Amino acid sequence: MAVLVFVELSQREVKMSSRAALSYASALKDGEEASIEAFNPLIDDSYFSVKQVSREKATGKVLLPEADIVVSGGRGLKGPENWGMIEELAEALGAATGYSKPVSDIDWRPHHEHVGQTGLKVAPTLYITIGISGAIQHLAGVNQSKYIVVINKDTDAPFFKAADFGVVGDAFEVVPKLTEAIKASK
Amino acid sequence: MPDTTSRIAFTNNNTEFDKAGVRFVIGPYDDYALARVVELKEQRGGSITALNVGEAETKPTLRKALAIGADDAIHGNANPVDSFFVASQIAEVAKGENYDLILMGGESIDFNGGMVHGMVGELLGISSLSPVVKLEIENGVASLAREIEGGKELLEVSLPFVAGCQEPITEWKIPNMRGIMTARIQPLRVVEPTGDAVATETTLYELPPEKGSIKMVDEDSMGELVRLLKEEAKVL
Repeated sequence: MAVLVFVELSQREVKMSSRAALSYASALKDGEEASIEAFNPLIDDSYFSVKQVSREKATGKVLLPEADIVVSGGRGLKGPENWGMIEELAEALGAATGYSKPVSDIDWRPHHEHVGQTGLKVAPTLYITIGISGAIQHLAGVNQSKYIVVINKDTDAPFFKAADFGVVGDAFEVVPKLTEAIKASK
Repeated sequence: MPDTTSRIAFTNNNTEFDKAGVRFVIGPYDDYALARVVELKEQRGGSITALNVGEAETKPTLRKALAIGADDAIHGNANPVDSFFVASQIAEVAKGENYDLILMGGESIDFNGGMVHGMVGELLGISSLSPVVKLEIENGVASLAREIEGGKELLEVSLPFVAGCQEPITEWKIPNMRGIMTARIQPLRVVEPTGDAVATETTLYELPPEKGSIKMVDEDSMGELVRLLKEEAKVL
């Protein structure tokens, strides 16, 4: 669960805060303008103890942290060869894909798509999970989602307690039908 | 920090976390830091000091760190009021020593602030990086990978520095029986808090609203689910 903490910053000269993207909207009071100062530091290489060697980024696909809709798969998918239907569903929805920790531990998918307590925290408008039981460590990463849909063949899966919509059924049957229904509705 | 499955409640007019009955554990991100540093020591030698700023109920976490492979442990005996306070206590301890590397979790799992590593770096005048997902050291230079949105960057950093660790930097370590037995009798160095560098005051804790009841949809009615998502939830 996500607890709201109200904090007062004490009387120090410099106050700094940052917020997670999508966590809440910014608001400027009417007539207010923020002043912007140019800052041109003179720094040479000797300042740096950190050197960037390279950078690689996934391109083209919808990025998980910014996605409005996320489709996530779990161990219920049985193997990486079954991920195709997740990607098809995500494509039909214009969604990003993610997965739960057990999938990360067995290396079915790249690590930056792991969603959960020790992975990425996401807060999309719609979070659809397939074959994920809903252990609290996973919930910790997704319970800020506006709407959660859980598809799982186990009626006792804890995730159903945290969901808005639920489907009990075999993912391999349900997901393709859902993809069809979404395409049909466009 | 509180175990993930702890009951979350607040006392004192909802200004304090209720610790009654809560089990305190090493945070999972800190567990990654500890595991990695134990591996580095196994490869290269050196010594590991585990440090925790917390009250009496957190002492078992230091015992566990010793059992996993830390050589000694320091208990910063104080209520970890906020990140700045914790960072200042860590920096005070570190100033007196010559640590090559200060590793911790990228964030805690109670407040998820992700600030302590940055603050410690600043207070000590050294670099801090997070989240670090890979860390190797050769000849006084570290090669590490840091996770960025949708990818990774590879960096070279000269020692000393502070790193906030995250998976998959390594796998968590489970203490073995021998480690647990030796950890039991090892002395903990207790350090009392210095100064009162606190930057914030929590004025209120609020639990999120309860979710309404779930709407179940039959597995053969995906059209109906799409309709609900479109018309009721308005998310499609």
